[in-house]
Amino acid sequence: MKIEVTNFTKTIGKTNVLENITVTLQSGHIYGVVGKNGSGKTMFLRMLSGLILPTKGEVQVDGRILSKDLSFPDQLGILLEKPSFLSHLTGYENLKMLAKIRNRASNEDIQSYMELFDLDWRSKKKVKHYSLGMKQKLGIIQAMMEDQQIIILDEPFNALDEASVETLRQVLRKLKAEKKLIVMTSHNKEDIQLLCDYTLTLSAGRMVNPTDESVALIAEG
Amino acid sequence: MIEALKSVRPMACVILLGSTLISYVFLKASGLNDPLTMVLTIFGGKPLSSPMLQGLFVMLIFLLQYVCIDYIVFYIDNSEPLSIRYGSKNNWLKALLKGTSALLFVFLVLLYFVWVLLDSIWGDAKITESISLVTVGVLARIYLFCLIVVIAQIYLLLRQSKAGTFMIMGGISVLLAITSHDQNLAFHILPQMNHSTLTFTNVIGNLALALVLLVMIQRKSAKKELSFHED
Repeated sequence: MKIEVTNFTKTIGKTNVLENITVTLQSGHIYGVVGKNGSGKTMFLRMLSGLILPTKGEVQVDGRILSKDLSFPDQLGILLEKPSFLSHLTGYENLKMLAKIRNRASNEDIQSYMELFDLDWRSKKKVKHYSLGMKQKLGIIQAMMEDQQIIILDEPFNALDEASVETLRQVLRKLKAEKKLIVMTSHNKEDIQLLCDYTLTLSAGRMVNPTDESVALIAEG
Repeated sequence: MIEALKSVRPMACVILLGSTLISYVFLKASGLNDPLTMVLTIFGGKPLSSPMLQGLFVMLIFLLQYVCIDYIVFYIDNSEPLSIRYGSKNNWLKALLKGTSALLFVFLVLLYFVWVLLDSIWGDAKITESISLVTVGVLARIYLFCLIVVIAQIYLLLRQSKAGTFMIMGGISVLLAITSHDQNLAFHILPQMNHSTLTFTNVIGNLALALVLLVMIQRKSAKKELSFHED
């Protein structure tokens, strides 16, 4: 899969929250988006997802223009900010409910992902009793459980313990080997350096390192 | 539909059942005999003649919102990832409306049949006689009214906090309860079923209001990307 962003500008009020972004992202790579708070990282992820419409420019997914040819990329899994669930249901029940919308993930798929992230799918524990890290894991799982080809993760390592951080790193490497296109943000340089093939640095809505087809290579995977 | 039902927290079911029982006792004490008249009266189809009946009306509107709120808030809080899952914002909105309509249907049917059951035990009603064309007509009319309440709740939740929504809807329901005695208002929102011409204009008025609210929700949800979640 290929996402091509051409001269994307998003203006809200009088502020350009994203300005003249041009970048090409391809499957089989992990892209790390970095920048200070308020630099436009989350907006950048929303742009790739089709959640914000451009003031100028366009986003194409495999040659189809977002908001014209399709609303959202068909094979997209996304974790944005704090994931929210029905608090009186278990994590497994929440994930099953979400999976029923597309009918692409079996119960076994959900169970294996939950086991991978050390969540007991048989547990009767309601989400309201989950820790922040457990909720984060549910958010990560729902973004991956349907074999999505494009995975967008906003600060996926937030609130995770060391073991879960390592698990997520391994899962992301595995997904990359399966030719998935992964875009993630992180404030942790180590995560970016260890995982990402390319880093995209944003500052005040602009891409700071638009070199070599608008992406800067920092580590060949 | 089953997914929507799962969204109702167990406490809401307990409160719903308790309120149904309390309402039944109060309505019987008010001299209302059959469950159909009870359900029609309590939703404002007949004048709410006493403060007690007005209080029950406000309580039921509150309860209706309480039953639906988790499902609606879940959809609104997750509007972005859910829109992606459903393929478009329109599909997300359709799913939200479908789910809340199903919840509302269950709420209304449950309320009516619990009263029928209670009346068959302690009163004169027979369960077999509780389902007729008249019953379906009255329940459908009340369903339309409740649908407006729930659509208004969705619209307010798109703009307001949960507390703000409950406050505004509470105010509206008190206003409706107080004005329920004026059954001659052609476009009164309450499910009037008296004179056939008035009933007809009342239904048309309600349908128009539901449509206007739906258009407002559609517009609000389409604009949501610009007003929320600025980085």
